[in-house]
Parts: sequence; structure tokens; C-alpha cells
Amino acid sequence: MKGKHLAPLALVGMGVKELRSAFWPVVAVLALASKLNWWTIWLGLIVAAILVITLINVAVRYWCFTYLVGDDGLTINSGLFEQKTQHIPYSKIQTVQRQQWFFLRPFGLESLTIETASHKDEEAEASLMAVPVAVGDQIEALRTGKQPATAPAADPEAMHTAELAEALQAMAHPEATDPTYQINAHDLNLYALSSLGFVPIIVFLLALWQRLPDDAVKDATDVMAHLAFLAVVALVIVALLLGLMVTYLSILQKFYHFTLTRSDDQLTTARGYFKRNTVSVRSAHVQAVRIKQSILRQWLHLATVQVLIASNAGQDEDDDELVLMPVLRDDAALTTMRPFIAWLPEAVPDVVRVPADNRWLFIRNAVLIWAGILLAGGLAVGIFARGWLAPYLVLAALILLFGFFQGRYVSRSAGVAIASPDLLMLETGHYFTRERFFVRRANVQAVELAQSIWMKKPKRAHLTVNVRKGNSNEAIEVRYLDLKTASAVRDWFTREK
Amino acid sequence: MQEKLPAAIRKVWTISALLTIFWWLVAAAGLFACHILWNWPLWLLAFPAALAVLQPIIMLSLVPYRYQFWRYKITDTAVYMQKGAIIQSEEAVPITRVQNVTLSSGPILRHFQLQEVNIETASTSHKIDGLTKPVAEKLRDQILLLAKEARDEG
Repeated sequence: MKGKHLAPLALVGMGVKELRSAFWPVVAVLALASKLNWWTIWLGLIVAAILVITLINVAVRYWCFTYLVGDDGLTINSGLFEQKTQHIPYSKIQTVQRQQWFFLRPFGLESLTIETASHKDEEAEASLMAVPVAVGDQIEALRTGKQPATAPAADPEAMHTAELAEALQAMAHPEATDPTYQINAHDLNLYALSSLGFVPIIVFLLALWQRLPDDAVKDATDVMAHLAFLAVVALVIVALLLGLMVTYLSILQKFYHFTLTRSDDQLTTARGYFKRNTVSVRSAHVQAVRIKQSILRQWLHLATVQVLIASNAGQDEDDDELVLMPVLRDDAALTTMRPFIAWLPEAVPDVVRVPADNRWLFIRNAVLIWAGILLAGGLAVGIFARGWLAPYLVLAALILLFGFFQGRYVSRSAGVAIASPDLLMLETGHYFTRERFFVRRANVQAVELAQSIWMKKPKRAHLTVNVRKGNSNEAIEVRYLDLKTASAVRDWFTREK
Repeated sequence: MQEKLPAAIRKVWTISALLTIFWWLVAAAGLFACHILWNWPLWLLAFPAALAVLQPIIMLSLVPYRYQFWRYKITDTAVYMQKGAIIQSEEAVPITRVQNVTLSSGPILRHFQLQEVNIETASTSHKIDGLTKPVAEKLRDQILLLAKEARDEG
């Protein structure tokens, strides 16, 4: 059988990508030219040559790239001089990621990224830039051993958009009994609003506060200058609001119509307005489940559920993990998740927290780290800008106070729970965000206990549980636990069957 | 945890500590060449010279502690490693999680009939500085056997 070429639209996509990488060489040539006063004709020729070479390269790559959806695997041929044949058996596929930009929708095309569990290279195993939607459906069907619910259209390009959407919908729900979750407008709105964070607002307030005593007071007599200052402030506020608005809207579009489905052993998430992003994972390949809450969301009783998987499909997410549920009531998180991940417990197990006697250590560490940084900064200010020392000291005091609360927060977030002989729960806190991990024993790769010599007598220990994430390692560390608690986890891990 | 590393590992560490002197001298020679060729300032030589003295002294003084605190245990089901003097850490890796074991030995290790053992899981890697050949090979065979059993079952 002969392989198929990508859809011609892929030429455009590849061209744009290549031209983007040719951008800097062109800029460099232009910069050099303006410096040396080169003849314009030569300049034009060189730039034209770069562009032509780029386009020829794209055309050749397009021409040499073929794919074949076989019975037992996907075969990809590429390369002109060094010809490469890549064969990916369906059984080895870990994740299938389908991305459809809105401008590809009318053509019934999408880009496919297929990954296996091999942890050798960073690159996705196979990426098909623009192929008919039917190809993705076929691969998914072959992979799960099922026939597609609707026959793939012979000519997807002729298919009407509405029909296509319908067919896709049918594909996503082959059986009515499959558990499905779709985000509602209210939840999505809450998620976007609580993602904004206070950081820009705090930065803005600080900037304002630093300005006031110097400029405003001095210039108070000068009404005109005062007005100008107000105008600047107003401008900054407008810019800030605009920034927040853009962030808010981009989150809304990113998680627009977020849907999670389970069919047999497959978990599929779909999201996005301009770029519809669909990822399917085998639930057996899930390494750990993480429930994440910033302090703001803790107050609002909202939580985000993510999974750690052994591939990079989550790469363009905020932090490398696949989001399973953007936003949920935290008390309903486990019951809502259980239809999708069967091994989650029904309720949060009793957590063994860091003993109260050890909590001050977190505060001490956080304050010490900040103090070290502030001392270095203070020395610099004292030597080079003595006049700023007073405001600096005020700022330093505020930061130390912040460090105190930071340490206090982390100390109260840390804990572990052995939920069952096969399930462990770990809780950690970082920068006012609490993370709760659920890990099955089979997915723990190694456990480490660490103790400094000063921790021996009070019987304290740091516990690190290593889990695979993407192509690397996620070390989940719970610090200053009671030695007995930490050893219990180690023994839970190494016990013989 | 009972087993210490083989006593010969102290000699290996001592020799590699002394070898750092040689490498710093090479670096110093390089800088001297730069001085002659391109007139680099001569005081740059002070850095490799100081390090040629300091590094071996620090490394040598740590050898007894490293030896004292480095322990390992290989049972039928797991490998345990313990190291560190001030911050002592203890790692546990069940043999079923091990994806591959690499035995390697440079000229110094080979002279003392030792092997460095690298144990890799799906996400972490662990190193034992030196084991005698029979112990290292036994560990490797054990892991291969368990891996084979797991394959046969699954």
C-alpha cells in the first residue's frame, strides 16, 4: 500500500513555521547590510535566496512526507536523502492529541500528535500537520479495537460543517452510558475569574505606593504636574484592566466547552474555541491524579483536577499536566471524578499532618530564605542608594511578614495518608497553592527518606515519592514529617506481596 | 542497613581525589599557554593552583565519612541505598520498578575489580559508586530474571 500525503493546507502551515524560523537570519542580514551600506540589489538577492531556500525546503519535506494508517500500526515515511520510516503499533500509543484551528474546521482537517511511552526523546513521536478528521477517528478506532460509530466520510472536504460537528459529536459519544462531564458557563466563568490572581494588582499597588511620597507630595503645589501624574495613573489603571480582560477572555476561550468523556479504558478531554484541542489517554497510563487549589480557590471551595501522564500531551497547559476538570466544588471532587478514574477513593482519607511541634520549621525556613535575599538587597541599597533605605526596610518587613504566612501555609498543607494497601495520598503546599496527589503503589518508582543530623533526635524526616511525569520525574516531597509516618509510607511501598 | 561498600572503594575515591590535582594542573598549563600566546594576565593561574590544593584536600577528608555513611542492601525484592553524613538520605527501589541496570568501570575501578552500578526506573536513576563484580552481576541477573517473570505473566 502507498502512503498518503498530508492535505495541501499543511504546506501553508509548514511554510509559516519555516518562515518564522527564517525571520532572524533575514533580520541579521538586513542589520549587517545597513551597517556596511551594501548595494540594495545584493541585499534583495540574499533575502530572496533565503526565502526561496526555505520554500523549497518546505515543498521537498511536504513531498517526502507520507503516512499510512495500517491494520496494526501507523507508518510514516519522511526525508529526501536520509529516508526514514517510522512504525508505531497502535498498542504502544499512549496519547492521541487532536488540534483543530477554527480555520481548518471548514476543510474538515486537523493536526494529529501521537505519542508512545518511550522516554527517549523530547519530541512527539509523530505529528501529522493537516489530515482529514476521519484519519484521527480511524486511528482512535483501531487503537481501541472498535469500529468508528459512523463511517468516515469519503470526502471530508465536501462535508458540511454542521454535519461534521454532528459526526464528531457521535464519535465522542459512541454509547449513551459513557460517563461524560461538560463544564457549564457559570463554572467556566468562576475558573477564569479565579485564575487571574492578585499578582498584577499587587505589583501595580506597589508601584503606586513608591511613587506617591516622592512625586505626588513634591509636585502637589504644581497643579499641572499633578494632573499629568493623575493622567499617568489613570492610563496605568486602564492598561491593567485591559490586561486582566485579555487574560480572562483567553482563559475563557481556552476552556470553552470543556468536555471529559470516558469510554472503556480511554479518557478524552476536549476544549477550546479558536483551537479545539482533543486529547485521549488510556486510563491505565495515568500515573497520578492531582487536585490543585490556590488559596483563593480554597476560600471559594473550588478545585482543579489534573492527571500526570507519561507523555507530553499536556505540554501547552499551564504546567505540563492534563487538566481533567478545570473547576469543581472541592467537596464533590472525588465523587465527580470516580466515574472517570475508578481507583480514586470515595472520600478523602484521614491525613496525617506534620506534627504541630514541627510546623515552626517551615516558617523558619521561609523567613530565613527571604531574610537572606533581603540582606543582600539591603547591603546593595545601603551602599549605593542610602536615601532609599527607609522605604526598603518597610518593604523588607512586609516581605518577611509574607514569608511568615507563606511558611505557615505550607506547614498546614503538608501531610500524607495511606488510603489503602494500593493507594497513597500526599499533600503539599507551594506559594499559597495546595496540591493533593493520589498515587497508586504500582506507579510509585522510588521512595526516599532524608534526615539531617539535627532531625534525628526529634525523629523528623522528609519524605519524597517519585512518580513519572511526562518524560521525566515528579518528586513529591513532604517535609518535616514524623519519622514514624514517613517510614510507614516507605514500608507500605516496599512491603512484599 | 548492613552492607558497606567494598573497602577498596576508599582507595578508588582517594585516587580520584588525587587525580583532580592533575586536571587542575592541565588547566593551569592551558592558562599559562594563553599567557604566552595572547598575554592573558598571569594572576589567573592562582585559581587553578588554589583549586588544585583545595579540592583534593576536601575530597580526601570526606573519604572516611563517605565510606562510613554509604550503605546498601539488596534483598530479593528491593534495593536500598543510604548516603550522606549531615543530610542522610535513604532510597528504596523495588526491583520490579527497575527498567535497566548498567554496570560500568573505568580503569581505576577495574584495577580494584569493582563496578559502578546505575539503576534506572521509569523516572529516576540511582547510583552505587562501586560493588564487587560478583555482587554487581548477581544484582543484574536478579533484575533481569524478575523482569522476565513479569513479562511472562503479563
